[in-house]
Amino acid sequence: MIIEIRWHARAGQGAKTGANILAQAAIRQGKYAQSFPEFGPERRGAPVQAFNRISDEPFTIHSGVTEPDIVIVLDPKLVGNVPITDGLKAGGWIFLNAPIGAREAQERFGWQAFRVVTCDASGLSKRTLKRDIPNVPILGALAARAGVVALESLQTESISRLAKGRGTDDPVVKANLEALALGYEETDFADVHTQSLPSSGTKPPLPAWYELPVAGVIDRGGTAQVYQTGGWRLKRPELDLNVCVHCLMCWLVCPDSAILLSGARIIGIDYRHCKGCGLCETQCPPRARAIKMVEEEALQPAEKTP
Amino acid sequence: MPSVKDLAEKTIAVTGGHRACAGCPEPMIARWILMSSDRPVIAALATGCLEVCSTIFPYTAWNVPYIHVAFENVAAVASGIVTACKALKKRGEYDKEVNIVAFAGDGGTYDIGLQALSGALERGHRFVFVCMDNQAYMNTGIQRSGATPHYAATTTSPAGAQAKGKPQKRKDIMGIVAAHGIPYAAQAAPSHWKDLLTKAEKAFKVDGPAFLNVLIPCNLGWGFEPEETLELSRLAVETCFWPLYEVENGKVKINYKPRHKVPVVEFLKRQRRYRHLFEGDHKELLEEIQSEVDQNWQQLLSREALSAA
Ligand SMILES: Cc1ncc(C[n+]2csc(CCOP(=O)(O)OP(=O)(O)O)c2C)c(N)n1
Ligand code: SF4
Ligand code: SF4
Repeated sequence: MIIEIRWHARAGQGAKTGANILAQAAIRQGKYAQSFPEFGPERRGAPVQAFNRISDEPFTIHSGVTEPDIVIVLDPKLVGNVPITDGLKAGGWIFLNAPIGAREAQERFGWQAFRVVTCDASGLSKRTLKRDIPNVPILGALAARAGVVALESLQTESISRLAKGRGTDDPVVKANLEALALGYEETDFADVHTQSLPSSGTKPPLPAWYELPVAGVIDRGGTAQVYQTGGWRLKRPELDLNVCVHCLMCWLVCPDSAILLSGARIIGIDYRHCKGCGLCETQCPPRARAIKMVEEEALQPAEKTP
Repeated sequence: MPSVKDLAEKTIAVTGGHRACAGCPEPMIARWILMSSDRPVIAALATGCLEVCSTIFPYTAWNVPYIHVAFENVAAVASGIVTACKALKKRGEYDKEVNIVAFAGDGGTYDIGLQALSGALERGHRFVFVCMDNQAYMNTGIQRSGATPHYAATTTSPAGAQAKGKPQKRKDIMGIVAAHGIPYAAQAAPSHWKDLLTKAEKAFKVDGPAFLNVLIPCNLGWGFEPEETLELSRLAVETCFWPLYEVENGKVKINYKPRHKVPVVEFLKRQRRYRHLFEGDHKELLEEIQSEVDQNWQQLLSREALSAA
């Protein structure tokens, strides 16, 4: 049996490295394994994915993982913004980096059909590594609960990666091992509650090659709007229409065409596309100050546009 | 120049759902430029950030017809569109008055795209060429280009113990383009949007090739926070690092003269690509950059004076 894993993270959070450590650790145990990130033209702040396959037997499949057994979420702000449970099998695992209980996560996000593990991997990483690199503790959590690989293999792999040129008593190596061990110990688990899978929004089927227009012509404009970039947001603009003077400066500068107008009046913000760059706030005149950037709340389902 | 309220009536030619970095001004500028056209527009896009971010099959953020072009030949393709429209009209198969606009990065303009651009300018096609000048090859990972300024660090002109960023100065692309004797060439920046819109409007009206060189403060490649994009643009103009000027039928006109020229370090110190100049003592390099800026500004002033004479 092949165990398939999908990682959801943002660039820089270590999904690619985490997946790689996991695969190498599995290989150390005599298993067969793959790890690879998904590359796109996505930029700073964009959600990224990485994948693993781990098996006791050799396998030849090389495509991206679409029906994972395990999903690992390194950034809690992605929940509600990217399809976390897409294709996840009933009874599959979700590992969430968040300082909340597993039952709470299950109820908040409707994950009752899955086994949920929460681990404050960011907190643990800040405590040990003095930086927010949640990939190391979450691997400990994975070994503790899903047992895909043994903690010892992860430790051996981490040492061999980090100890090059330094001894095993090097502070960086030590801090990594500690982060791994804490992740192993400090998890919360909630078992499956119901067998019925959450409805995963209906995705239109992809066209077959012979249905594609010749030369890749796109016969309509503006089709990019179905692609939602709201999940890139780390800060959210909040608009107070009571003080807005409708100068339209925010509309003029928004690179994502996310300020909504009715005639020449501002009516709201399209959070499906807003990337949270903050330019609208900088252009809102001092006499109005109608837009304020606030920290995007983690673990909130994405808001839909009016 | 139309007011913002007038612009609000126009269709959004570049929609959301594109994948440019948060805070990148390229999609906003493309939108502004298309809004400035009095006729329907056909766009040609050279490979570069704008193109790779906005046209990922089967999606397009463009609400106008566009054609995807290779890195090096957008001006040639734009010439082809202009000529095809003419030929079709002659045959009576097409009757629309349209504007053709080509967008390219600085690599696709100053470097690999230069001969196609030069040819198109020399042949005198009626089209607008817009250079989105983020001062490096950004979508492929921040490599130096002919537009990368002196001492800026990129992945191929790094800063360290041996090197201090790019050892060469940037090309004077405005000078090169203007030397073709085209009717209109202008340099603009997104912080001064009224100036930019006016220039775009003018560019679409001239009978022949027009060139716009637009500064793109790139938070990824220059190293600053996304919300600082327009502030960096403003500083580039206020320090005279990026003068706003135009060359119309050979006559130079400076469109904005800062009352108090801000020292260029105020612009440099906000960006990680110049960080090495502020670690340790590099006073002489900073002074060198300042004197280059001053010299260019003086030259521009005297060219303007000559034009007026
Ligand atoms: C002949 C050729 N060489 C290299 C490439 C790869 N390539 C695509 S875009 C690009 C750099 C583009 O830089 P620039 O024009 O400055 O645009 P930016 O990405 O900065 O917007 C490169 C090297 C290519 N497409 N074609
Ligand atoms: S933060 Fe403001 S300017 Fe930036 S994408 Fe969102 S709405 Fe647009
Ligand atoms: S790399 Fe720079 S120019 Fe390219 S999309 Fe990002 S901010 Fe814009």
